[in-house]
Amino acid sequence: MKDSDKSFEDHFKDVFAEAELTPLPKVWQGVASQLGEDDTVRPLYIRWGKMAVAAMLLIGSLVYLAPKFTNPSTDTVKQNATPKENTPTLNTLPTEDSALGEQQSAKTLGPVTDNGLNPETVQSTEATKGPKVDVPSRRPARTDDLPKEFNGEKGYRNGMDKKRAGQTGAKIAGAVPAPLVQGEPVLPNPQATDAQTASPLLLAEVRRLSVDLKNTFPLASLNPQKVTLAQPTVKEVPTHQWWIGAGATYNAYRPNFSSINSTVPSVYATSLRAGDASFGNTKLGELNQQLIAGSTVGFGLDFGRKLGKHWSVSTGLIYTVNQFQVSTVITQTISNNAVSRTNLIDNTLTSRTSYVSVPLRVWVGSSRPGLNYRASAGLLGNVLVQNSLTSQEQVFVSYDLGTYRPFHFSAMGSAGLGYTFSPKWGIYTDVNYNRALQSVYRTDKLGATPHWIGLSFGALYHF
Amino acid sequence: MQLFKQPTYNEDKLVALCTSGDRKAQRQLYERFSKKMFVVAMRYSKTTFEAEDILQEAFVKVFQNIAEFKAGSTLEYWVKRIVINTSLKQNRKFFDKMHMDDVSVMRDEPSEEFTFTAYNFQELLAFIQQLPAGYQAIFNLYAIEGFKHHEIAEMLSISEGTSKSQYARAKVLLQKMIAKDEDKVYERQR
Repeated sequence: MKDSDKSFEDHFKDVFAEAELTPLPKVWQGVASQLGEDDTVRPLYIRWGKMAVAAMLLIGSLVYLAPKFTNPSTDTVKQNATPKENTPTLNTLPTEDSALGEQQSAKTLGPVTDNGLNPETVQSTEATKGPKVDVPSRRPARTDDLPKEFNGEKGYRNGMDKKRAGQTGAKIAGAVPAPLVQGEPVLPNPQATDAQTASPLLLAEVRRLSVDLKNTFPLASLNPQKVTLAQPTVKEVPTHQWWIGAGATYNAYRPNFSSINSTVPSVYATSLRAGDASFGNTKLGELNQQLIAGSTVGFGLDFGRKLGKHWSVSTGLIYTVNQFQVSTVITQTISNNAVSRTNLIDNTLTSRTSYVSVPLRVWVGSSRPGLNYRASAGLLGNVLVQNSLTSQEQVFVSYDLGTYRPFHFSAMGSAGLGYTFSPKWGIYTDVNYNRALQSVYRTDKLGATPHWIGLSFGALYHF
Repeated sequence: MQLFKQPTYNEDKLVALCTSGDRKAQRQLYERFSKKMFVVAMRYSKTTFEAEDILQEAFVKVFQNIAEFKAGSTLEYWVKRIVINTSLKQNRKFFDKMHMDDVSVMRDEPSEEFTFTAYNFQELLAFIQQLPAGYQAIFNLYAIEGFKHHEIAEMLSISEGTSKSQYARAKVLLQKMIAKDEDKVYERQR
């Protein structure tokens, strides 16, 4: 059939009217560099990366500084807050001008109550049968030795505020349940029932107080608050049931393409324009493809709860960016007037995919202080945020990738080590593996079940 | 799904932002037109690399001169003209040789039956790229862009007759290429 001139030109117009080819990213990079200013469109993962680094620095600072600002005895006080029924109590030393104090000085230093003796103190004193130690006589305490709160009307040492004294004594009783006699502590009788409950902490407290007394420290040194400032000598097992954590992951990512349709020219390209056929004076020859895998990053927040001594569950929010490139090189031979020329046509596709994932993980591990192990397995629901690689026409090559799933499931497992350096704070590092459970592209031409191995670092806060 | 998608500006807003040097807007304008303009550049060049150079140079001109774009006209057409002018400038040396051509040397080439409607744009693009540079430019300007011969003559600083003769030869060459390709396909199918 012979086409008319009009239809000849119209056909070319129509064919090229909506024709599109994707130029390589380097073209825009060249434009941007020639315009002379920095490209302000920074990749999303860089912005998220900066935020994650800032968060990690903040968390790291808190982890480093928190122990310095936390009174270690606070937890001790809480744990020992319930006084034993027969546990002797300590409130403070008597003064010589206090008859009550004199009466008590030969026995114990119990809190002053309305009847002059703390029933618990009496009971415990009787139960305490430890040896008494003679000590040199103490310098009489003077009121000018006392800080203001121990002097005057408000000072219970002068017997002015017995009610308050009793309350304060109760606090002290909770804090340091150790028996004392004047000047020297009375160590608990190892055979006594009550003494069996004494902890190394109590002994440490008593010894410290002894030193204080020998040096005739002012009475203020026995301020209840100062007594409770003694360093705990017993490591505590964290009893916190919940944790929240933040971490970052560096991934070795593979898109894991597989060819479903054997008629396509390669795993990635779904058709080669004109195939291997010659048309005109052009011949399309060999097609070489290469996958250039990219390293990727992820940032996550973790929220978990302990189910027992070793088992836990957690969920959270993870943002992951995955990148890779597919390079397709076609050999093009052009023959014109007995002159043959060969072109290498390079089509490079860049894929950047990002997800927000919600994990559900089961953990097993140890929860002891110091170094511990941890391992997990779980499922992730992945919501697509961005996908830059879609079906497209490149020079002589078609890529039919179908559509990217907006949501897919993946499975993951991890194993690693943690270090708990305070009841609340810990750090961890994990090796983890993640794999999609279904093809992320919906097409009958190829399959893609991305997987990656990652190395994570993070911090945990227990509460 | 794009959770963090950049806002899509209308043409006037986009031009205003590009005029003020907003790089995000420039990127958006580039993304909007680069695919079509790449095909235009490919039609006027011999290789992909050459087309990429043309595209890059053209968009730099677009952003450097976007203040001169007049509201009310079509931005796509304005960008396309810059791409075409950039392409023609690259091939200027070939047009100088065309002054010797004249419409009197045109002869009616033997017409062959061919069916070019079976070819897609990439295959036709391959044929166009094989035309000699001067023929290639005039064929693009006349058959695809829709310029008149006197407009082409003005653009390329050649005579109107030269434009007509060059176009006629380009058309014959294309018909031959297509016919030859059809023969090969036919022989292969036998």
